[in-house]
Amino acid sequence: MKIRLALALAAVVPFALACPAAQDPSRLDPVPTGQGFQFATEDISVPAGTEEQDCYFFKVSELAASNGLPSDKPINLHRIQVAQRAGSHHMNLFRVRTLVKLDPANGRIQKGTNGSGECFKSSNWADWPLVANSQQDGNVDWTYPDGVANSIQPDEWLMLQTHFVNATTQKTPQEYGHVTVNFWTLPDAQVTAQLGTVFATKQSIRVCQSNPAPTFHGACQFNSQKPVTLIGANGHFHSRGVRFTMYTWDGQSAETPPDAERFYDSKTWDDPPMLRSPELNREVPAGGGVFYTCSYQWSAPAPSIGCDGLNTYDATKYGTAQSQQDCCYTFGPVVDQNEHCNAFIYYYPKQDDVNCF
Amino acid sequence: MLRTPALLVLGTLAFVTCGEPPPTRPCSLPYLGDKTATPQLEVWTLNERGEAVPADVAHPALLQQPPQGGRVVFVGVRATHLDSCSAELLVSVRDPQSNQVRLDGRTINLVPDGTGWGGSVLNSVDTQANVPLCPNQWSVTDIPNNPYQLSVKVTDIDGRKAELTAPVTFRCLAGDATCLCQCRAGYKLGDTCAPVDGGTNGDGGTSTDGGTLDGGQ
Repeated sequence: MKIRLALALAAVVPFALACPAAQDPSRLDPVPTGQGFQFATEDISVPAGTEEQDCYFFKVSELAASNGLPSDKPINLHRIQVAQRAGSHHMNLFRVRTLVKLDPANGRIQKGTNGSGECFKSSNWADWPLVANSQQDGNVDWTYPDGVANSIQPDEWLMLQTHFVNATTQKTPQEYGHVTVNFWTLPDAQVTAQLGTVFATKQSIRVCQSNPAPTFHGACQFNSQKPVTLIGANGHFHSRGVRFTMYTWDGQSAETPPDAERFYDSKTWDDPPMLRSPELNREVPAGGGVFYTCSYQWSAPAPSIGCDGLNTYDATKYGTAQSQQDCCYTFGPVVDQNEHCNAFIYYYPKQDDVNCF
Repeated sequence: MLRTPALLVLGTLAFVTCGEPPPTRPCSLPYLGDKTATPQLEVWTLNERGEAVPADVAHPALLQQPPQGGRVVFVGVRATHLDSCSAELLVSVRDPQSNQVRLDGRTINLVPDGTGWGGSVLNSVDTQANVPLCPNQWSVTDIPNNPYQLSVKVTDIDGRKAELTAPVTFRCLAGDATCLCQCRAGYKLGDTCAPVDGGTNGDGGTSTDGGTLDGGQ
């Protein structure tokens, strides 16, 4: 009797322990035929001590056709799901526009490690409208308000940029990453408003030993003659960042708006609030936009990098003379050595997608 | 008998209070000028040769491509009678027709130049305001060759301020077609800007579609 039980268990246990696809945190159930489509990265190797930032290109018509949608009509993105393995630093999805040195003709997958490669250079996507983004909590399931959709043309390319980090400030368990995305679409007849996006970044930011608590302010208008509604927002910086705030802004004031206009306040660089509708549903006046602020506190770099490492990067990347080197974290993608001050904003009705540099 | 210990304690406390060091300044740079005098300010913009030129209509400010894309004007300052450490630099450019502004604010050290003045460093754009003017998704006119208003304010850590407002114009670098395109009124993100041999628009063919077919609400 006991032997039979043991044999029975021996037959069942392996199947029970094998993780079904549905339980893998980076997998999603597919979208039903005709209601959207799914696309994904390959398994991405992220050895210890590395940051891997890869760019994946997808043709919208091909994605549509893969799941029963017409390949010659726009798709109206109304709900987006993203699932990722732990270790994701960020995932950004863009619509491809002006090609500089990041071109799908050079390969559907273009990889970059530790700051090297075209997928790390932000000037390559300077005029590419944002579609979606995630930070370290890589799971997204966001349905836009009724009737709101982001219409994307069939002959467009999408670029999925995924950044996994397995270094000092962040780890990638099991040393591999993976991203899966579901687009759920809306029929044309149900679309009543277009979604617009804003991708803002502060230029030439620097957090230095002798200027250890800097703050950077920026502001971007929606350029709309009518009020618009904010439905998504998050800020992004690295571990020197101490506070990221956003305010609704009238487009005309040069000062920080009053506290009553503040709708976003993040003090956690590694787990920033990702505000989305219905929780975020905030009107911005005609001609207005968003005012954002990033505050930092300098701290000594990891011993593996040291001030020498930061100064070397500063000299190499920005040509900073030795007399001006100040153990600075400069703008850039490498989490342990660089900083960002980026805002991601979603609104409707769309006037235009905005890139605000 | 009881008063002596009390006096001793009070005296000790007074000594400790008076002996407390002043708050530490965030940098070791010297104070600029005279703390009792009215702060003064000069403003310049950066040209294509990396030189500082006065910020006025006689010297159209150059729209330059910064590291992350678009076009900015780099605005530097020189000031005196202010604390040099961790000053707040706030620069805005205003469209006089619509009253819309673009701005950049940042904390900088005003680096002394040995004359009692200090300010932005010529070859360090991070010490200058990087005011993002293009893509032009904010102004009702073309940005090059039209009048705008530049406002500059420097506030030190004690709250002392120096301010200046001046009319300015802007220019693109000769031959910078992308600048002329991205800085024109009505620019839509992703509009075709560079010539075909610049290899910029790929096979999508939708850069104008993105601005018109799915927009226009």
